Amino acid sequence: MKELDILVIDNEDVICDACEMVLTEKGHRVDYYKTGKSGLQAAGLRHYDLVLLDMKLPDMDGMDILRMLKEKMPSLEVVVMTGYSTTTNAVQAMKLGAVDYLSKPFTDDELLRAVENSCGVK
Amino acid sequence: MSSSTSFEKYFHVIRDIIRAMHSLTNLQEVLDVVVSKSTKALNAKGALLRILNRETNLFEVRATAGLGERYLNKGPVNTETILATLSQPGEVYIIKDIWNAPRVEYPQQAWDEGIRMLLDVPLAVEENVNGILRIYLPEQRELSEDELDFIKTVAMQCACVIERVGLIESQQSRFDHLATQVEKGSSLGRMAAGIAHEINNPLAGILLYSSNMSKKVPKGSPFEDGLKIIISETQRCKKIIQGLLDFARDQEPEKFQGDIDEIMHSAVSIVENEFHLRQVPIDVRLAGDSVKILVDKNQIEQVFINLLLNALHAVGDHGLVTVRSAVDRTRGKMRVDIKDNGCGIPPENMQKIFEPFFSTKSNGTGLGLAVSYGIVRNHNGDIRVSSKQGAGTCFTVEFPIVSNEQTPGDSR
Amino acid sequence: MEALNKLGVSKEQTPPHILVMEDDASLAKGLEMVLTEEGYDVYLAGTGGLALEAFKQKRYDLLVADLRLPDMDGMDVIRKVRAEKPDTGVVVITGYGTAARAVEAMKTGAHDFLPKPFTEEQIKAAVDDALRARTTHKQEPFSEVDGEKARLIQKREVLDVLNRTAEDRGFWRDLMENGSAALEGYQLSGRAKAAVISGDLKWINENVGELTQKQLMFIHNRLEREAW
Repeated sequence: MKELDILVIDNEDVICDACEMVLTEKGHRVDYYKTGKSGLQAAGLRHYDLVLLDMKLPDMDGMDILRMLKEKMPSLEVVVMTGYSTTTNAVQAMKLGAVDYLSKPFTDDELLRAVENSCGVK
Repeated sequence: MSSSTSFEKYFHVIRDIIRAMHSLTNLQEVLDVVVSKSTKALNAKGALLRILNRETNLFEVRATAGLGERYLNKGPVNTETILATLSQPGEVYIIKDIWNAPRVEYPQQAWDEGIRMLLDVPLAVEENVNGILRIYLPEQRELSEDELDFIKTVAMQCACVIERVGLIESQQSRFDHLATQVEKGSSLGRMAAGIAHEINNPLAGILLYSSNMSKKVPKGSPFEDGLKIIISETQRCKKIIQGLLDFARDQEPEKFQGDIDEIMHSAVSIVENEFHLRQVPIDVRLAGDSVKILVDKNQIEQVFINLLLNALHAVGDHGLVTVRSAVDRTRGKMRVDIKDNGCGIPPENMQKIFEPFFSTKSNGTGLGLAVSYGIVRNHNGDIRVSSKQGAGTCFTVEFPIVSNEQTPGDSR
Repeated sequence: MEALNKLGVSKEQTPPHILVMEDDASLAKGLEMVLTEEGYDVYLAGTGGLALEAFKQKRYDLLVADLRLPDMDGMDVIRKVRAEKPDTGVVVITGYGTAARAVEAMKTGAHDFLPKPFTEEQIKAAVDDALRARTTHKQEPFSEVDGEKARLIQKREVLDVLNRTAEDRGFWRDLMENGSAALEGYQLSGRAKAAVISGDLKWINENVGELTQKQLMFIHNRLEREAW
């Protein structure tokens, strides 16, 4: 199974830690950033296969970050995570180019499924 | 003074008072006119108007005419003293002996001001006294019938105005209070998003770690069950929050002309499978009257589904759910009854069933009936329940029928 | 008509075909009215089965799909349509919008997802956007690959038409009597249409290939008529 380079952008410690644990146990490499700006910067500097992006960050609107990521790096897949999921947000995120949408809370399997399906890994 | 000119004069004063009354926002104007004009009309030294403050139960000075500062600096009069002797609203109390009258608190000061006689006129609407008008006369004399009539009329008018203004003010404050409540309610909706986010993040942490841990424990480990429970309870929290968010979101219904029977048929077709699985027959007999109701189809369908599923879950093995609809033309209402022959609702719960989060089911969110209640009320309808323990429960939903005068809307 | 102009569709070209898959009769009628006013050709299907049938018979530019149908899950219909006719746009309408369903629909290729109730403005905008996304896709700059793709599409279309004439008596008659009007739903160039209608076997052999007996039936019949 392909090992993926994953970028997590979420300002909650527990989410970053938990995601890192679950994903690294499966052999993926994980970096995490707690703000939109630092996350965007990291995405531009290193190669990643996938971004796990939270929609409510302290410094920027999640949708704006998603838009910028897809504009600058269209081949970089983005999976959106959110604590407040609505149909409107889901549709908007998908239209902006997100490859999947996870509503918190989700299980480790749900996370892995989303990550591995998004990068065509089975 | 001839009687015709004095009548004219009284008439003018009363007219001025009435004119002032038409501007309801300015009570003070009315009070000022009353004290100044009645002083003039009676050739008095001055007048003092007090209004009863219902909160403090004291008569407070609100308007004066012709009196000196020194006299005015005396505080408000205690109600007891005044009301003890005010037995007849509509009467004028004439005080000739200001030194010995119990209701004159500061006779020395009054005398020094040149006051020799007092008139106390209670301002009252029916039996309720809301103020007192005191006229100060510079000499002791008899008052004519006309004068007394005049002052009584003024008092009556003044009392009415004070009453009406008081009513408006209390309505205003009640309205403001209600508006604040509504504001709080709608800001709950806005807070819901923040709350959801705040709770869902820690839950996400719990769920990720517990689902991960449950794969790491060996089979038969004492931790297996506990972890399973943690996982399922966390997912239940997720459902509850989602239910709460849906509840808090202010869904404005989009109403078009619709057919209740049609909506019920649709709802039944959705839950039919569930009924079939549990082997519970559903007996549907609808009015077939096709009266038009102004409804948001989706929301009403949601209500019917909720009631049907509640009925289904209430019945046991020999359960039966009955659905009826009827048109009551005299009351202009369309009514729907969903009956079950289940165990019924215990009387102590009857008051609570429409409250949010009230549920007798272990996996329920308890929001179904609360949401249904809200939707029906939003449609100017009514939802009631009657129940007998051991016999069954009947939910009745009623809607107002669209009358022919209303413009028909599109059916969507 | 405004919407059509925005799409760059002129009056001579065929208006986009929209299939509305919705079991609520009054909503379906409402949508038909609103979208017809926009200048589209609207067809209705009240069940998943009817919708899939319709897709076999005719080409549609857009599917407006309700997820809740009496006979099957609307999502399955969408998946089938996207698999078999990938250039059909999809707009989902539904009374039970959850974020999860929305994401699922978008993943199968829906262009938009409208929870009911929606306004007239919203559905018009969603349909216009979805159709525009398709035409921009179609108007990609000409290239080798596109040329080949266009040729293959045309070939498939001609074969579709000829197969249908053998199976659908009504269509045969329509084609005989009304000519290119009967071929409106198909992605065929003027030349191709003319060839089919007039029974130009030479053109067909050159551009489409060998025909089966069944496919030849119409052509032969047409040529016989000519002889008369």
